[in-house]
Amino acid sequence: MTILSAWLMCAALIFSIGLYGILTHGSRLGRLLSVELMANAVHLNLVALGQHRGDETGQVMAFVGIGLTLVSISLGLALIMAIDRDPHAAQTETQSEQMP
Amino acid sequence: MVTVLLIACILCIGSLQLVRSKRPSQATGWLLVVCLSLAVAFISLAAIFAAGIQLLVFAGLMALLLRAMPQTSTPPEMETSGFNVSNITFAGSIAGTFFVFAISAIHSGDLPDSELFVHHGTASQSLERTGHLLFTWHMGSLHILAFVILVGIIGAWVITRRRSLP
Repeated sequence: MTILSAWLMCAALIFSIGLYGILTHGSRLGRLLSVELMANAVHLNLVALGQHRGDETGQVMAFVGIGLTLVSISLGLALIMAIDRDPHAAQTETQSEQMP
Repeated sequence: MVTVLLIACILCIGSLQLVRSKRPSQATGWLLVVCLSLAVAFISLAAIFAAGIQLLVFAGLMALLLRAMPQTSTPPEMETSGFNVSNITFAGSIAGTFFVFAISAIHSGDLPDSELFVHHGTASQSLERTGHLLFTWHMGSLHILAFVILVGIIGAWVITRRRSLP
């Protein structure tokens, strides 16, 4: 087993664990952290493959990916906080949309 | 190879514990373990830039997560004295980032090549090439990322602001 394949297998394992967390976790925050875990696996893949190729494009792509993950996690956390603060608001808006 | 397997084991165990933990503060702690192990994995791949960015970005994320959780297990006396968990995490991650960059700057010619690295060159040369790539070929991606982060900041502020009663 080469070092690259070891890293790729590790990333695949982390991605699978994150997917399992999304499907089975009860809390919203737990699911959000599982998404974060899956994104980490993708970044590991990008960096390992980029370094194996011998250029730094993988690092740059991982940098962009880390930034995008941060934005998505921040927005998800903001949504969770808003829903926890006023749980009836989202429900009421959904019901008013469904009404003719 | 032993180092790679050790880091991979820590990453997998941390991920499993993160998914299995019921309390949000505990899950955030395991996420910190995963992020730090990932930064070490990046360093072992001679990707100093990615490791530094990983540490910096996740320091902010940890602080955000721990501040957003009112049910953290922080003792009240620590909260009042200013030494709460999020401050310690943030300071530790910032110190770790500067440590990584300082090591790469001081030992610019001494750091060994990564086993994966095809071209001959040190980790600091990799850092230099990454900066060059980022500000020449991938300038467009950098601009788009900056715009998306700006939109994300405004969006998070709009979502979390308290609406005034009519």
